[in-house]
Amino acid sequence: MMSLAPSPAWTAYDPDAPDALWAIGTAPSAGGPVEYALSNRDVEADALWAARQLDALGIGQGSLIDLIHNYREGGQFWPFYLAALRIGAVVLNGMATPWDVGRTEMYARRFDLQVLMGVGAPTVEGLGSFGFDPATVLRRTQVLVAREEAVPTLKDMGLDAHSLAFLGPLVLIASPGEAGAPYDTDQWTVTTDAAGRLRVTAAATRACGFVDLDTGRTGRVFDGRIHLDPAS
Amino acid sequence: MLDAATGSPDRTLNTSGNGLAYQAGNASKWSDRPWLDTIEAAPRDQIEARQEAMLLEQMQWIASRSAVVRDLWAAAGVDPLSITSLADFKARAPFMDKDAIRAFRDRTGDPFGGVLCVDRDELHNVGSSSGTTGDPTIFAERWDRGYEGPFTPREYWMLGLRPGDYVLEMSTVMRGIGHRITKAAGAIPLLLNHDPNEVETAVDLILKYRPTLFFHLSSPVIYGLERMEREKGVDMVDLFSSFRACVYGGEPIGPRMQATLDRWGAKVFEFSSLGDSGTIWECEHGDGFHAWEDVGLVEVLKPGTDEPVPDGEGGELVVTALHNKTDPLIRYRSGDFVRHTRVPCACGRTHVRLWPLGRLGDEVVVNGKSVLPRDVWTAVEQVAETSAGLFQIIRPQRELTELKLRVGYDGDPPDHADVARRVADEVEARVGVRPQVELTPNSELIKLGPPHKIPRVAKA
Repeated sequence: MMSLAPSPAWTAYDPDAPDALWAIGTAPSAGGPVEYALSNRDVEADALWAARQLDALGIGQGSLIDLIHNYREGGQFWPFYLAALRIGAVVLNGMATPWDVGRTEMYARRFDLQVLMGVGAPTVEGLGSFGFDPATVLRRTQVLVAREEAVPTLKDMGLDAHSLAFLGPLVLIASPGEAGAPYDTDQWTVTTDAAGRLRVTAAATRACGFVDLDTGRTGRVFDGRIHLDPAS
Repeated sequence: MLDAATGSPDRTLNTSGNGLAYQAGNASKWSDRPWLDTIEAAPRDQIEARQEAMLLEQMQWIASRSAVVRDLWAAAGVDPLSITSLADFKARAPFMDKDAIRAFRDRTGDPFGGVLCVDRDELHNVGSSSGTTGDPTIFAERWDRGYEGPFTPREYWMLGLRPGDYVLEMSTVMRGIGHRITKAAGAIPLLLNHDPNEVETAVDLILKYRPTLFFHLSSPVIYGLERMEREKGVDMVDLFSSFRACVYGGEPIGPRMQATLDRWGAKVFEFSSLGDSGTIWECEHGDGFHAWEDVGLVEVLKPGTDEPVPDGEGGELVVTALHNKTDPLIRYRSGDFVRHTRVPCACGRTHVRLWPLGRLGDEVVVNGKSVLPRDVWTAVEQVAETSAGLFQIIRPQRELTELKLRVGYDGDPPDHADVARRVADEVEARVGVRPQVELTPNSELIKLGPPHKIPRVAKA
């Protein structure tokens, strides 16, 4: 019979304390995926930021939002779940892989989705491979937020999508035709080095401790917005 | 005790998406007991008394709310409100199955197939099955209520996870981010994809954080780990030394894979589905999968009948959700074949234990001989080039005159015909049917996903 004696460490542990770790996520960087810690405080701050993005996308009480992401992107996407739930929206979900497009298609067909967020090239190509017309499926949603590499393809299909990009641990969402994407300047400092590479430093309150993280992307920062170079 | 059956008055979610009352209730149970809830080890009469009270409450709840139950029960001439006891329910309640839910959905356009019993604006998440055998099955969830989703806090406690521990979550996004159960246990998840290509990152995280629970292993992930061991020389015994439990799910473990896990010192615990009303888990005694009978009423019936099979014998798993008030399935014929016993486990838990035997939809009958994927498994594992055990039975229909297999291989064997012949020899020796074998690279089979299990049966 498995019985572990209580240890002082865990009997005193409060997993909901602001400084307690929520999870270890991974983020893209110049050197490949890099792990980073998120505390509850970090997630709450990111959820506040996400709520503003969702509001701009039209998410409100009773809205349906389908979040398409892989598990390792939980650190970036969970704040959007939390923000949506606290707004009173309902979240649906799928994975950004070709084999999971059946669920994405099903949700778009059976539900009146306000936002479909996270569609990337694997989803667009997968829909075609599995016999669906991507444009028909994706047009059923009122607002599309597509990973940046899929935006031109969708435009060719007549679909104007918001662009979603990852800059290290940051999620950047830009409206169609908009120059640059806003970011949470309270949580992150983004600078450009001499080579034009974007570097991220976390606020002192954050658990991850990123200082000048080389994101591997190039671009410019001004007016509180990040302008990524395409395919950088 | 489970939390309030009909919804928490405070629907506020904590940072991890769990209801505040639910999370506080979990934390209040953390102790040196081997189980979280006393009902886990209660005498049979107490379990049945609890079940009967919950069942009668569920009948009241569904009678006016579950549209599909209303249709099915009216057709059978039974009023849910007339049910008086467990015995009365088992004698008179009509069955439902996936086809009935799909038929209701197609007839009415209701995506939930008539099972939803709350207003849509009460929902937090809508998830689904992977849909490998048709349109995905939808699951509606309210996250302020515990014990309703696929997992309860009991399983991780049973496996030895404790607050502050790390959990390696190599997982999929089927019903949201599954970290909620880890957070309910007070633990910290390491978030990675369930993908053999993610194994190298997983190794780095394991060595840094030394997690105590691995959710979850599957044949594709083990395949990835074997490659890491072979090509990078990773010390697997050291790698697995911090884990109190490695959860394996999705499909059975073949003997060769079991031997590999034993060699690594991996303490493996399997889990499986409880007829879409929860999950069932092995404890440290590895003697059957525990079902929580206050979460679901479990019946094991002779296939195609309403006759219960004797304790210790196998039959079809039929489950009635007792606690779930969001989208409860009532007397749901799962299509899963299980052996069962209500003899208490050596761990002290007294709820029914199940042994999954296979799925009705996976069986093929070749010239009158029944063949299931688990029959083929051991044979495929015996051949070095196909030892990862990745294969599919080609099943255009149930009755066949020839067994056709699509079998994955590793590396670049010089003589494919020789590999196919050796696989056919092994299958013929163990199954009694000589198959036609089509070889394909493991990497191609894994792409067929979902990543925790390749579809073991394909139409073509």
